[in-house]
Amino acid sequence: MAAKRIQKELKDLQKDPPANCSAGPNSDDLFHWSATIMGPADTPYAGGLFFLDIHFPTDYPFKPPKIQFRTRVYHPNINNNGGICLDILKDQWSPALTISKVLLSICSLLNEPNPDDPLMPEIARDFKINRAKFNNTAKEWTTKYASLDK
Amino acid sequence: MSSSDFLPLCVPRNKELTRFHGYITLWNQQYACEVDFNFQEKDGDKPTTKIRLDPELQRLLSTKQIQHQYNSTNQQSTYQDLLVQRLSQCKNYNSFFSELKDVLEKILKVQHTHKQPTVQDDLASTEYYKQIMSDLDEIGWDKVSDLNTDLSSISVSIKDIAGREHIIKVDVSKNNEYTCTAQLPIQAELKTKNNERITLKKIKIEYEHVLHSLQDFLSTVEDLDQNTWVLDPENPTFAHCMRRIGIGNHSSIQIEIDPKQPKAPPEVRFLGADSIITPIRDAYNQNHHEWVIDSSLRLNLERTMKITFPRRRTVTQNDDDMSEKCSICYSYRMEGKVPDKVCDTCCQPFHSMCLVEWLRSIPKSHTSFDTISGTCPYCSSAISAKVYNK
Repeated sequence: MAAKRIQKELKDLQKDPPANCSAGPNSDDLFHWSATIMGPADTPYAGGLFFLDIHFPTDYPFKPPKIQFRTRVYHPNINNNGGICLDILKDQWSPALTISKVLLSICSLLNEPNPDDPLMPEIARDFKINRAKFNNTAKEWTTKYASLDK
Repeated sequence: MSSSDFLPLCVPRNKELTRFHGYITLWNQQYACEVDFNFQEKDGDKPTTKIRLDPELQRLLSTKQIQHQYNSTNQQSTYQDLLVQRLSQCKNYNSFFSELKDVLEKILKVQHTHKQPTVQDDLASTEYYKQIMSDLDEIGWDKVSDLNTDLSSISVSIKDIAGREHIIKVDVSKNNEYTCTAQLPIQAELKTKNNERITLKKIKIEYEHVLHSLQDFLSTVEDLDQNTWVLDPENPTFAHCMRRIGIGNHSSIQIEIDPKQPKAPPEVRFLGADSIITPIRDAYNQNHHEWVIDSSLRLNLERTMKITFPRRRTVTQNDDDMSEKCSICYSYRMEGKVPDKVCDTCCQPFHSMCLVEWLRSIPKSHTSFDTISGTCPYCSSAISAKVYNK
């Protein structure tokens, strides 16, 4: 059942790809995908290309997919291991969501960090108190880890 | 030195004891063989021994070796090559005959294990076939649409008055008795007076009677299958009296047609969101007086329900929007079931089992008796489903 739904999502994703994102299976394994997100313009992540790993549980879509950044990101809700703090990947998951919708949510998380529910308290504090410093570091990390020219 | 120790069924054909003629025993079966020895005294010269074998063995020898374990380097060589190689190393009759027997037995064993089992041995008597053939001649070969090689299964094609073709599948038992089925809701009763034999002609006549009595049913069902969007059964035939017909907005009606009274108001189940279904159900219950017995079932349903059934063709054009796929597993048929649950608020269709599994996996839902209640995964309004015992 999971495989059929994942296949259908893949088909829909190829037919109507979400803006600034791409995703697809790594090899023959339908349950293990890679995805990319382009850093949204007008954010310190602009110009970066961020890679993500997607793991579908066998009881998908009853359980959310496991998504991690493979590229390092300086963000209050993303930790050093690429873990993402996003409600729809946890208790707010619903079968009504798709990978495409989840990737768009991650895009908007890059646009609007949520410092009140931080995974990285230090970064969240910078974001709240010293926005210029936050922007600088985030931009530095984007150039260092996510630059397309590498 | 004599060959009799190894080939007791061979007799020498000449005084020098170099030619033998007779039978070789392999796996308790005798095969004809003829051997003409010609041992060379000098080293280096190959012995020019000639062997003639039973044609069956000869044929096996020329086949390619099948993964035999004792000569793995020579995968593509024939058994003949193997035999020549083995026999060329023999210096006397003893070893020659034991080698010959050994190789041939191995070949037969390999062939035997690779052979497909064939059921040729229990052919029925001539009478049996004569009887069937004369029955077939009687109904005419143009009526036969299919039959298998041993005549144990025959398909007879007959046409009803409206020109619809029906296939009667006839199985023949060992004592020439026919049992038959057709894709119809009613099968013909095959009874004869005085225990007379039932012939194919009799079957054909009986089924023509059945078809005649089913004319109204056949045209009703055909009309539904052609002019409405039948969701279930997947491939409807005349044998199915049930039809589940899509009426749009993820809703459908399920009717059971009585083959004897196909134009009478059928039993109807309404499936779908309450907001869509309730007005249709109310109309159907209130407008019973508008049912015209001479009109077709489809038109009567449309008239009393005040709807028009969407046709399959118009629906498939925008397949993705109108499809009745389950919004959880994204498939239409799951374990043979089609989505049978619709959210009353957002009209998303679900398989009951998908919805139950989802509601079970979230802490917010609760179960009371056999009903699990929670929120729709799409619109978060209240939704419930019956828990099935697996």
